[in-house]
Amino acid sequence: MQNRLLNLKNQAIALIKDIHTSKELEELRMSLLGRRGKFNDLLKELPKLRVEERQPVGRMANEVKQTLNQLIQEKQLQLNQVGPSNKFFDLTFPGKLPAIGHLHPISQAIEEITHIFERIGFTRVRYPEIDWDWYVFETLNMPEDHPARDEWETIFIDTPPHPTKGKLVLTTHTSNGQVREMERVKTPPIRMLNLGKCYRRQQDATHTVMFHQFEGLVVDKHINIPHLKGTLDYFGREFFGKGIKSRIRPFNFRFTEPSFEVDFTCTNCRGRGCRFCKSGWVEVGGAGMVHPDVLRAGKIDPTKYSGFAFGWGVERVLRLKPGLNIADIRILYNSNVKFLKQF
Amino acid sequence: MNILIPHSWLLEYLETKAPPKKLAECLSLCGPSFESVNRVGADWIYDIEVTTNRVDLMSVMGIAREAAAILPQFGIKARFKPPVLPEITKSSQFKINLTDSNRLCQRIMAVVIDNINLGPSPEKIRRRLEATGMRALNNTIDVTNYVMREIGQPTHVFDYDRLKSKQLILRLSKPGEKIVSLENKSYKLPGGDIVIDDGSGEIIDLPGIIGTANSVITPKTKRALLFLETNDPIKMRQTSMTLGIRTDAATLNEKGVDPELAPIALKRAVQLIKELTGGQVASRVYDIYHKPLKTKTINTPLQLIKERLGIDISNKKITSILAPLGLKSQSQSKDKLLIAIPSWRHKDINISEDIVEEVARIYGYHRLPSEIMATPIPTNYPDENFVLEHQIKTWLAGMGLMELYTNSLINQPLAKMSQFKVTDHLKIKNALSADWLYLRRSLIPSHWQAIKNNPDGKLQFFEIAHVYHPKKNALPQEELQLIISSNQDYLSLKGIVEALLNKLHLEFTFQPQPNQWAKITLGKKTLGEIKTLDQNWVAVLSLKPLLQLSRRYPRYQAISKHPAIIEDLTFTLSEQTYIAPVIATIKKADRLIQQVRLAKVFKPANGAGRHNYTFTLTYQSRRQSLKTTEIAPVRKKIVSRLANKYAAQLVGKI
Repeated sequence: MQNRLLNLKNQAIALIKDIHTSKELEELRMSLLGRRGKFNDLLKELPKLRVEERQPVGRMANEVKQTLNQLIQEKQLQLNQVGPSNKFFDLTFPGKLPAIGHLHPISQAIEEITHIFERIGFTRVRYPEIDWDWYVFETLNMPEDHPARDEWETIFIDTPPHPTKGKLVLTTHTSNGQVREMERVKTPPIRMLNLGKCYRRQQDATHTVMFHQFEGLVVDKHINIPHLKGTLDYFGREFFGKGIKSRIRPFNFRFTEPSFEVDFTCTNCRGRGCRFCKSGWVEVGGAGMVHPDVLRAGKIDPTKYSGFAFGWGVERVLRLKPGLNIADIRILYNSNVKFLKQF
Repeated sequence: MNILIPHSWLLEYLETKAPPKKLAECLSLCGPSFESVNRVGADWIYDIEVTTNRVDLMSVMGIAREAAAILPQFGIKARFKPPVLPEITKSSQFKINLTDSNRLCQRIMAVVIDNINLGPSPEKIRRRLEATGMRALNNTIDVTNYVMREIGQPTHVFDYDRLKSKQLILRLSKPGEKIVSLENKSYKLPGGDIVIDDGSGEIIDLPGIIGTANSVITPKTKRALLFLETNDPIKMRQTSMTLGIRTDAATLNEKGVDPELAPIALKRAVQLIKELTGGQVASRVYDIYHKPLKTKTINTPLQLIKERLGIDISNKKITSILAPLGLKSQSQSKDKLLIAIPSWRHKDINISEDIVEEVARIYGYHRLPSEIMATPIPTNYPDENFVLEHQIKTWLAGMGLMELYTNSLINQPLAKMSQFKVTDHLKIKNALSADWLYLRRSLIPSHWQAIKNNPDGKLQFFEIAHVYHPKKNALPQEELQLIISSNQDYLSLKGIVEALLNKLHLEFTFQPQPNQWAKITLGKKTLGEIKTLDQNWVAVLSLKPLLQLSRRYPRYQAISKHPAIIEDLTFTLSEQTYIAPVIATIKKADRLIQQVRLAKVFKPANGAGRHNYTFTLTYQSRRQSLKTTEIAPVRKKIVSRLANKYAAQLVGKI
């Protein structure tokens, strides 16, 4: 009996040595120490022994079991460690790729812009892409035939005009959301992010008939120019990266007073001045303090409230991302797989 | 609008030692944008963008005044040198008969110059004109252009002797009247344009826009009539835009030139013409001034300025900023400033906010603080779910699909491909090209085109975009749709739709319709459709109902501790059997059936006749471990239901 126990132990030690996987080890453990394993088979014979023999054999059996358990544990630990192997294994072989899809770069930019503004309490909204002249121009202080409208290259729908709201136009900017948001919210605070498709009668390397704009509008008591600057600086830092600043310069829009042009530090030269930007700054879009006439059009009292607004092209800011100086932006909208695969 | 100005010319009106690049940098921050500064010989040329509200800056004099207001804020000394011009000595030698009885021009000034000696202008004048983008012609015409650039007032010169009647009558044109411009181009007038008639019905000028061939000076001219007007900007714009004559003069006149510039420009023109041509004043100075500018004042609360700038700026600083711009503080109460508006800013400064702008920009936007507002954050959100919309995009991209952005504007062939009549589409009135003539009512044709335009290979696209349905006397309905398109087999597209709807925890069905398309339904609601198109497959879902009906989280099911029994059952079904209802029938047969999966289909070799379908069934109870004896009655139920409903036969025995 004692010999058989010793044999079992020696066999087991040899077997454990040769094992290479956890699965084999577990199988071996079951065959040795499991309920129906060799060890238990042997122990079944214990009652057959004489009484005086039982104690030493029992003690030995315990020792063997302990030893085997310990060896198996050690082996398991050893297997758990990824050890160097001498076997040739080609780790450079091309991996099996999962199906990889692609979000359109405009979607990616929209998502990033949305997150940036939501973090500072802006509410994203959606307003009509096809809207009345009333919201696109009239309430923005641009009466019919005003020369300021020339800048917009408006596309008109071939339908009779509405008796009070005028012609049906494709929105040339997301600014139609300004008075619409004032009407929806009724009483400030307003922190609106209107982001959507716009259309202008223009198609070349830097313009597409259909494009995307985002419009920020903030209205509350005591809103001032530093608040606009703070918001622009924040956006520049978050969207373009640390060290990117914003700057506002005088400009003229009918629906803001004062009006500004907004520049950001050139992402290409980081403000040193390069062939692309010349001055270290890149112009991105327009902004301004909401004109009292626009607040009035939205039924908000300009003596109590003030606000700022800004609006730029998504394509424009996307192109300023390092590495995305897309020479001809028409490629964004012609469903070219070779282009979209890169994103 | 842009203006080119040489630095040397600017210095005639501005006293400063600012280097040109520094000057441009400072002015760009606080005034008009200097787009470039280029060295040309010993001089520098500024290219300046002027906004349409600041026509007063479209001149050397205007830029000089602006520079004198801005540069000192940067610690650079600068002083505006206003023009000092001699009064015109009158004569009564020649006369004209000038009438504007309908008050078409706000102001008209004219004077006759005799003994003109036509010839080229001196080098300095010619070089400056060319530097500002104008052609030098002769010493008389050059003076008119030179004065326009320097003072900002368009100026014209007639050949006095060619004005046969000596009558100049301002009137409105009749539709169809013809003129021949000084460039010998003929134009048919739309009607209602301001013209000058010589009394015989003949038009001898299109004032403010372009001279006509029948009255302008020629190489033989000896006597000239210097002529300038302050025009009605709206009329100027109408005529100039309709005829497409976009001269420098028209560009200025349609913005509304300061009527007080007229005498300055006239005096300067007389001074130059005398100097350059040797001519002499030979008439009185005609000046018809219908509506002289009234004094205009704006009462601006000091608190408003401080509040909008967000800084505590002193009253003294405010008045010192405004003064060089010609904005004089007339009186000052404790909390308000009464500011007189100079003639050259009459049109553009109207409200207190305009004064805020002047103070803020000259003080310097770059010097104002920058801080995100600490005002309350709004929480009344609109009824939109942008998060889930983007989540859907992310899921689809995660399944290997590529997102497209196709154009909402389509051509006629694509409009025809939709299920709507071409005439039921919204049509563009002023389309840039026939490619963008209609607003689409379906995303399918755009994706058909995208598949066609890409090289062969596996293409799986999706897009979320609006389609536009016309409504009578109302805004079009903008319906947000999701399209998934593929040039792969039907089942892989359907699988994508199923995976997506599962992610949204929606219990959908595909209801087959005649002609190989299916409705995707949820209860009685139709969510969308899946169909074939030119050997490709597309699925279209209306997004709003989809988002509204979807669940963010599933209804969680406790996981059973008891083992499941899994078995295969094979049934024989007739060949044209829709399999989804069969699976649903099995599933509904008993609560113990946890899952039914179609494992295999055996078709007869020739494809005709009955098919064998093997289903893998999972039975499981939440309460107990199932015994095979408990499965038997369930199995029986399945067999009898399928036999009744689909005449299905079980292969083998129960």
